[in-house]
Amino acid sequence: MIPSSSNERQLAMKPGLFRHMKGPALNTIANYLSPEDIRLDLDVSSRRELFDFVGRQMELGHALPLKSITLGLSRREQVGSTGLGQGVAIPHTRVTHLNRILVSYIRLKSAIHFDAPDGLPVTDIVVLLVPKQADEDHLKVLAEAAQMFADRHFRARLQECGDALEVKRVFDAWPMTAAIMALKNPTGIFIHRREM
Amino acid sequence: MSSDLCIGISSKNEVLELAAMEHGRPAVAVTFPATGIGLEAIKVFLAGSANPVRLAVAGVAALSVALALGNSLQREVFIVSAATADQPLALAQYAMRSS
Repeated sequence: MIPSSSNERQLAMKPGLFRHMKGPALNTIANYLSPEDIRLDLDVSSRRELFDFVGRQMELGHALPLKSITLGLSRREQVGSTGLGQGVAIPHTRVTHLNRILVSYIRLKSAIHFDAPDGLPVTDIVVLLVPKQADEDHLKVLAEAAQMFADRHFRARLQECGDALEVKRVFDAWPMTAAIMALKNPTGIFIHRREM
Repeated sequence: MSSDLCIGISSKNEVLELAAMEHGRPAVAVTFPATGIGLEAIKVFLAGSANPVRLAVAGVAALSVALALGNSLQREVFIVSAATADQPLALAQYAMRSS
């Protein structure tokens, strides 16, 4: 939970501002997300291409079976879209012999259609690979992702990130990230660098 | 013994407090934002459940939450008066008793 700039450090030191935070413990998603599993400005044109990429990424980075990851993610989408709205989706699948949840964050170069409930295309993807018996952690991660991405300040901060380490810091610092952004920009109006 | 996933949801102004119970497992309590994203995230979780789901919902937006989440096969939804149960765990227990 280390603020990344002196301005943020000054804000963090304001008495009582972050009194709800307890020590250095990270939130659940930050615990599961490593910089190696963060990819920015990925250029894909469909969910299929996205899932192929995720399968390759998980095969190379975690020695997981490419085909079963790709197929699992695609089959889950057939049950119902994992698009949440506001340009966010949480594709996920259960994986045999996985001993902990794996989280990957992908920011797309161009938004793709995801059958999201609000009809908007998606740019922010949080991929969850879940062990066969991990309902508790699965629910916690989903709830936390919903809280993070429901916060427009958090989404705006992610859009500003230039590399994986910066993204990791934003996830690590949540919910402080959102509080800092709200203080910096109380209007809640953001100008994004990238076009949807 | 039923293997249904029993969910209690207490709808507050800004959050949806949720508890999930299955026979033989400890209950899990989490909080979702009471926004479109929060509701969709709950739908995403329910859609991924391999077992039938039983939901009990109470609180300020109980009716709309029940309508949004109950539209599926293998899913039963109870709208519960807050006088009967208003905490998520008590609502999940209500759903479990109603099997």
